[in-house]
Amino acid sequence: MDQEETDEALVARGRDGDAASFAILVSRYERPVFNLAFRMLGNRDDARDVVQTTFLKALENLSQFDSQYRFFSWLYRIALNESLDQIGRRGRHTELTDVHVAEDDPLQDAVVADTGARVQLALLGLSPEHRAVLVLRHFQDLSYEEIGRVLQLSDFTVKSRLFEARERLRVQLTDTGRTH
Amino acid sequence: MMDERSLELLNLELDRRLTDVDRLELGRRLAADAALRAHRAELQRLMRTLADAPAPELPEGFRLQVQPPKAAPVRRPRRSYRATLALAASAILAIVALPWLLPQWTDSAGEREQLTGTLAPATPTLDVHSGAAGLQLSLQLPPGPSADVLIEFGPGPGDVQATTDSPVSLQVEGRRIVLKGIGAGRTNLLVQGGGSGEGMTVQFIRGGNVIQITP
Repeated sequence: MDQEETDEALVARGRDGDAASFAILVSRYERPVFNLAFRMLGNRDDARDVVQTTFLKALENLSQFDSQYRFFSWLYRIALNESLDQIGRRGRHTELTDVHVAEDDPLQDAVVADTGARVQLALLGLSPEHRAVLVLRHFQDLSYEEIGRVLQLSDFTVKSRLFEARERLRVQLTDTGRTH
Repeated sequence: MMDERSLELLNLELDRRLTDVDRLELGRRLAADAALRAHRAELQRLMRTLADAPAPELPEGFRLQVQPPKAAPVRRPRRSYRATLALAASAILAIVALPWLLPQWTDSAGEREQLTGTLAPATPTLDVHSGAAGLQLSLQLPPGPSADVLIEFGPGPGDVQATTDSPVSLQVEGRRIVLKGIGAGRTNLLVQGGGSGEGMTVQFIRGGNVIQITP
């Protein structure tokens, strides 16, 4: 049932007070929202907080969701705003964040972890605006038009920002010889 | 220096958004320009690197356990909007909060101490002194592979400037400093324009780990 129901149908039922339908939306989008927040913040704990706040805000404001737009665009917008707020709130504390996924092969594990860490470092070296457009394009696989809806930018601005962000990321990664 | 239209065409190609006319134009430009061909190869490598970067895994116990009600609800009379929202909020709050609460209840103190004990020796340190010449940062990296360091300063009137006495790659962009290839031991950095370091964040990236430190 979950697989067949569209986001829009679940949102409509959620607005009618069906808690389970919203729970399905949570399970459908918790991973991409975590991914987005992690790429923006580079920190698991902060990303986890962003996921929690994002879904609570989505629930609180479900009645204001404009159904002519896609649900995920709206959700990602909330998550990005929360991530930007989190960047502004970062306090003075020490944290360790594990970037990589464990593999069976230790050597491969190290290579994958290194690639992940380098990409994350390079992303964190960009401005939040450049980071956001890259994350939406490359890690959420959104089109120019979808990115424009999330960021509330014209297609022209999305393209120009994305191309510039790519160039900056390329320079950072090429400097360390990490593109391969 | 690549012209803007060529860069646009390369990027459109990466995003599979070239029209037939664009494709012909790009083909002509590539045939005539070796630098453009090299740049195209670099962008394609970048795309592969991004594709190879592993997706972050949800933390253990993070997955929200969301289950629809066991029994199919019968059609009830419509509740007021406030009552509906309150009910939905209560249910979802319980669903959302549980996975975050459970690990805290189940984590034993011993596990937490063990985690701290495992990571502590590998943690780099940072000393900060504000002097007449600027902000002096002393980064101490424990033995192991080289690391990269990202230092970000909070909002300020202008860009920061930085120098280091160590043979590492130093890049400054606005109020952000990137040091690449720091080895074990001490690396000193003199920063001007960073004030007293208020709002500064420092991240060490080594192997698969990112360690964020603030003095």
